Parts: sequence; C-alpha cells; structure tokens
Amino acid sequence: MQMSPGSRKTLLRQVPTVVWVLLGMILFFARFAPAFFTLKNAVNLLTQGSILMILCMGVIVVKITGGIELSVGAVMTLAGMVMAWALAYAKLPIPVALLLSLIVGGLCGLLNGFFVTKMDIPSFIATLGTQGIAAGISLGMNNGNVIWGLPASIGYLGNGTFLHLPVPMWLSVLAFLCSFTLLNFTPFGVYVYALGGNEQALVLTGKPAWWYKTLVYVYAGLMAGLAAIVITGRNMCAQPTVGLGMEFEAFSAVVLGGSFAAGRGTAIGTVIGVLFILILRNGLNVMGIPTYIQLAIIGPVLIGAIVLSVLVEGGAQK
Amino acid sequence: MTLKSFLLRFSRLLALVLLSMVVAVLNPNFLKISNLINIVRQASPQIIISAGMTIVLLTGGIDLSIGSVVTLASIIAGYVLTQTKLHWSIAIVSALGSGLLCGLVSGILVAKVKLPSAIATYGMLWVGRGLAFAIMGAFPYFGFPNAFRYIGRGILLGIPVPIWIMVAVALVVYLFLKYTTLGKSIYAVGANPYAAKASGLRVDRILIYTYMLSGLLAALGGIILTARLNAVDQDIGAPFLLPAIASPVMGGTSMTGGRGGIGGTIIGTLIMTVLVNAMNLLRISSLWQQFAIGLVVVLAVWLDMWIKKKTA
Repeated sequence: MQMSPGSRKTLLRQVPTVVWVLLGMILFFARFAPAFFTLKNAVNLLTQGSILMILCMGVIVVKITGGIELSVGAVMTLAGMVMAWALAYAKLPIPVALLLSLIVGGLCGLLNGFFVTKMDIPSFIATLGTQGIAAGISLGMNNGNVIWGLPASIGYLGNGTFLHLPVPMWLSVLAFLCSFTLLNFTPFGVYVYALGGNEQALVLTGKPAWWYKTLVYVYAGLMAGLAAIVITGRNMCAQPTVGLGMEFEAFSAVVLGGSFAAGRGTAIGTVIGVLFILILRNGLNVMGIPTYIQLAIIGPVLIGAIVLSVLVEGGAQK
Repeated sequence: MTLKSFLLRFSRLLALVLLSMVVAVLNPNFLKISNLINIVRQASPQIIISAGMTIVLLTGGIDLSIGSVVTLASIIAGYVLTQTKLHWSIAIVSALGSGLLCGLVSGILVAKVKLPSAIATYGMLWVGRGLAFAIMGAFPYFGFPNAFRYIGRGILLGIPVPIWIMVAVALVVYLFLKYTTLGKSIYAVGANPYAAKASGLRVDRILIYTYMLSGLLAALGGIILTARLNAVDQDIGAPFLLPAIASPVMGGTSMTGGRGGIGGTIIGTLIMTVLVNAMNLLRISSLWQQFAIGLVVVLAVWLDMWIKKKTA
C-alpha cells in the first residue's frame, strides 16, 4: 500500500473497509432503533463487551504469529472457577484470589505454548486440547455446580464505577493499552510479527523463537485470567460453562479487525472488529429482534463484511 | 518390513488395540459383541462426517462449517418430513442437496475469492447456523415416519444400518482417493498447490469439488443422526466439529495437506469413541470426559509426531 500521503483520496483508502461497514451499520441502527444511539446504550454495550475485548487483546497477539487460539473461553472459565473456589471455599484474601486467576490463565497459556513449541503440535489442535482440559476441570472441580458465596467487594470489579465509568471498561482499556504497547513499541512486538512473517528468519538470527512463541500463548492466557476476574465480579459467581463459545467470537472479531493471515493484524483493528460484533448484536437486541432471527442475521453479515474487506483490500496480500 | 516401519505404519492401530486391552482388563463387559457393535454404530455418523473433513485437510484446507452443515441438513430433513406431505426420500435428497450447496459456496469462497479456508468456512458456519434457525424457529421437529427412521435404527443381516452406510462411505472414499484422477489430484493440490497448477491441474475446480464432498458427507451424517434420534434441534451438529478435526489428525492426516487418508480417520474416531465408552463403563462422571478427550487428542498427535521424528 505505497501511496503518496496528503491527497484526500489515498487517505480515505487507508481506512479499512470494515470501518465503512461499521459506520453504515451504526447509521442503520440509529435510524431504526431510537434507543440505540444513546450514551447510556453505548456505555452499556462497552461494559457488556469488555470481556470479549479483553480476550481478543490476547488472541490477536497469537493470531499475528499465525497461531489459532481456541482455548481462551475455557481458560477464562477455569480461571474464574479457581478464583471463586479460593474466595468461597479456601477463604483466601481477595488479592491472592485475583492473582490466582491470572496465574491459572498464564499456566494454561504455558501449556499451550509447550504443546505448540516443544511437542510440535499444530496450534489449532494444541489449543483445542487445552480447551478440553480446562473445560473438563472447570466442570469436574465442583461437580458441574456454580460456585456462589463470593465477598461483596469483588463485585466492584464487574459492576463498580471509577471516574463515572464502569470498571470493566477501564480494564478493557488497560488490556488494549497493554497489547498496543506490546505490539508497537517493544522488541517483543517486532518478534511477534516476525514469527508470523518468517519464523525461520527469526530462528536464524539466533533469537530463541520457541520461547517468544511460548510467551505469546502465556500472554493470551493472562488476558483470559483478567477477563475471568471481570466476569466473576459481574456475575458474583463462577459458572463452569460461562466461557463456552467465546473463543469463536474472539476469532471472528480478530479476523474482522484485519488479521486475515499470519503476520497481519493490529490492536486498533481488533478493537474495530470487537466493536463490529458488539454493535451488531446490541443493535439487533435494541430493535427487539428474536434471538433465533438474530443468529440468522449475524452470520451473513459477518461473512459479508469479511469477504468485502478481503476483496477491497486485495485478498490476504501474500 | 522392519520393526521401525511397522511401528510407523500401524502406530495408531496399535494405540487403539492397547487402549481396548486396558479397558477390557478393567471391565470385561467391554469385549461383549453387543458393546463392540454399539461402539461402531455410535462412531458411524462421526466417521462419515470426519471423512469429509479428511478430504478437505488433504488439500491443506479446513472445513469449520461441518457442524452447522450437519445441523442445517438435519433441520431441512426434519422440515420436509414433518411440515410437508412429501415422500421421505425427498427429505433425504433435499438434505443432501443443502450439504452440496453449502460446500459449493465454501468452495467458491476458497477457490475463487481466495479467502483462507478457515475464514471462508467459519463464515459458512454462521450462515448455515443462521439458516437453520430461520427455518426452524424455536420449536424442534420430532416424530418421523418409520421408513425414514430405518436409516438410523434399522438392522440388516444382524448389523445396524448406520454401520453399513459408514462402511460403504469409507470404501468409496478410499477407492476415490486412491484410484481416481480427482482423488489423486486432491493429494497433489495439498502437497504443493503451485506445482499442481503448473502441471495443468485445475486447482479451483478440484477445491470446489472437495468442499462439496465435505458438505455432502456432513449432510449424510446429519441424516443418519436425525433418523436415529427421531428428533432434530439447532444444537444437533455443533458437537461434531471438533472431533471431526481431531480424528483425522489423530489418524495421521497432516493439517498442512497432502498426507493422510480415510483409514487413519476411522481409527482416530474409534479411539475417541472407545474412550467415551470406556469412561461410561467405568462410571467416570461425564463431567471429566471432556478433560480426558482433550488430553488424549494432544497425546495422540504428539505420539504421531514423535514416532515420525524417531523413524525419520
């Protein structure tokens, strides 16, 4: 995309296609659903969506390296279950429980990284295996039951406000800033793109590529741990199936955000992809469309937006 | 044949036999003929669905829409059977047709629009799911005619009909991959698409046929399932997707294309079915089954990689 800067036409062209579709969608909902275009709904949408946003901030980093991360939903569930177990049954102090959630997330990430780098298992299968393991432990550890009885103060992390804005929103901003900085302003970010672009070259420069790759999965796991804190705080309980299907939503958001192939994708693009999914679902909700028809609409719109982006932006640009 | 090459060739079969022996020692009921037939019957729809995935994997692609094609085909069959007065054979034809159509769309998105297959078929996953919801609304279909249910529950010469269908499909797919031009081209496309194109193969067309086959087999699996359950809802197909990916890979089909086959897929599926069956026989809570399956999938793939490395 080498274009001379300055002229309005090229500037417009640099805006990803999905943004235009998103704007069109917002206009559509604003016109046909009066309750949609309000500040209250926007805040509500971003609060509801903060969990997906946090998860995607981890998934995008894995996606850029060319990996597919299918365990984040289950890992989030497990981290939430362990955290709730620590609070309700082991009566550990809150900071320890929060730390435990992050540690569980990180360990699951480490397991993914180990499967991928040391056992040479394709990321798709490795994270699928971790998904099964994490989902199985989440179900088995409390016989499939929800864990209740959390201290009231934990609710602040899911329902509280800070500077007039919901805490989950702040946490999703924090997650975004982490990934944004990581990808753009650190040597590690350079290695992440290198892993996706040409892993062999990175190996030849003498860098421990396998270790960077492992860390990428650990990072995604940590984000899942953070998301677990938010969702447990919001629900005031830990459900053993709460993250079911989240990994597929995260995958679509990341792809919509421009990560069509290995080595491609940005933190900002991912925000747009997440917003796309959130706004589509929220708008249909506000319009009062029944759930089963919503599902019939969401699919074609998602694939349509992806096909359009790929066609306009010249395919995967291999 | 040296021990090495023997191990390499039959490592997965060995794993299946080993697993079966362990289970048989723990619970002698496992080896009862009725239980063994039961296992194969339970595995049949999954094997048929996984066969389609195997063919797509051979081209180096992946078909994530398989689960929702199963759902869509089942719901279309259910719709024709319960909401119209048409003959039950029309239900089968329209279900198979819907599978072919889904495959055609995925195939065009992959071959002509040049979308990565994971993305194209993932979109198809949502489209199929959406269509299924739009057709059915909120209420499941149930109570199908006996002639249709025979496909899922009938017994022919002492063996359940789903097993007959599965064996026929496996045989046809085996012969197709081994002896037909199209079948051999599928391996060539997967091994090296540029070389395949350079040597005059019509890669676009081969890819489109591949996804259509995958859709067709998913629909067939859905029909058997619908006939067996005598009811259909929107969640009927989704659980088939992950095993459909895991079983070919466990059976030695490479995810990067060009290597593998239907035989390994059958063994891979059987390993997983035996595992679930064993956990039921040993009264292990179903809550832990997902954990065990996750672990076994990873270990089986790793074992495969390890043996390859050692014998290479």
